[in-house]
Amino acid sequence: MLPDLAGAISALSHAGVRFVAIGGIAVAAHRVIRATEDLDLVPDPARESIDALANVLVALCARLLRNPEREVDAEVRTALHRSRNLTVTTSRGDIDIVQRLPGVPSFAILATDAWEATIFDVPFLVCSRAHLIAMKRARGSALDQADLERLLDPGH
Amino acid sequence: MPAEPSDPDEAAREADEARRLRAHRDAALTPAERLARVHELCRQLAGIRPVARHKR
Repeated sequence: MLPDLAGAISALSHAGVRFVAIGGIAVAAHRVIRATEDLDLVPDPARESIDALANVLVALCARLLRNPEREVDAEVRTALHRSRNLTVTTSRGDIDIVQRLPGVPSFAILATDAWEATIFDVPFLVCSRAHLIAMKRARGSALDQADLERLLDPGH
Repeated sequence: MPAEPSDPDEAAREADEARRLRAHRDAALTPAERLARVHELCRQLAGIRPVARHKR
């Protein structure tokens, strides 16, 4: 099954989930295209937004990547409300929900200077280039380093 | 999944584990399937258009 990034973003937006995209989607929005398999997002921790997020995950038949037998059940919902991260496989592709990760700012901070973007006319928010660069510097994996070099390249 | 929030180091380890699990899963694809996947993903990513700085 091929990921449907616009479909995943559309499902989240239409359900009222507030989030800022980070990771490969945000990198692409800043004009650095590389293959990414998942939608990385930092959600608004407000109760109603997390509830809406959990509802969308259920609607998209989400399963935990670490345990494909496991659905988004009550315990997983509670974990989301407690600011846990979650990586799921859905009918629209993988979604990484990031709520606490070293170097990743909170939703409130990311939303302050986020950029509006569209994917096939579906609107969503992406983190600023400055925050993206700071996150890449903090993580420092080989992939992050490659992204960083291109994000810092004035030609991009 | 533990009920309590993880510490930052554990969260980083979980992120790395997710990346490994995804790579392991995708290793089952044939080269042709992998190429088709990358092609489709890049097509979708090329459909992203930055619009403007968000006004809160």
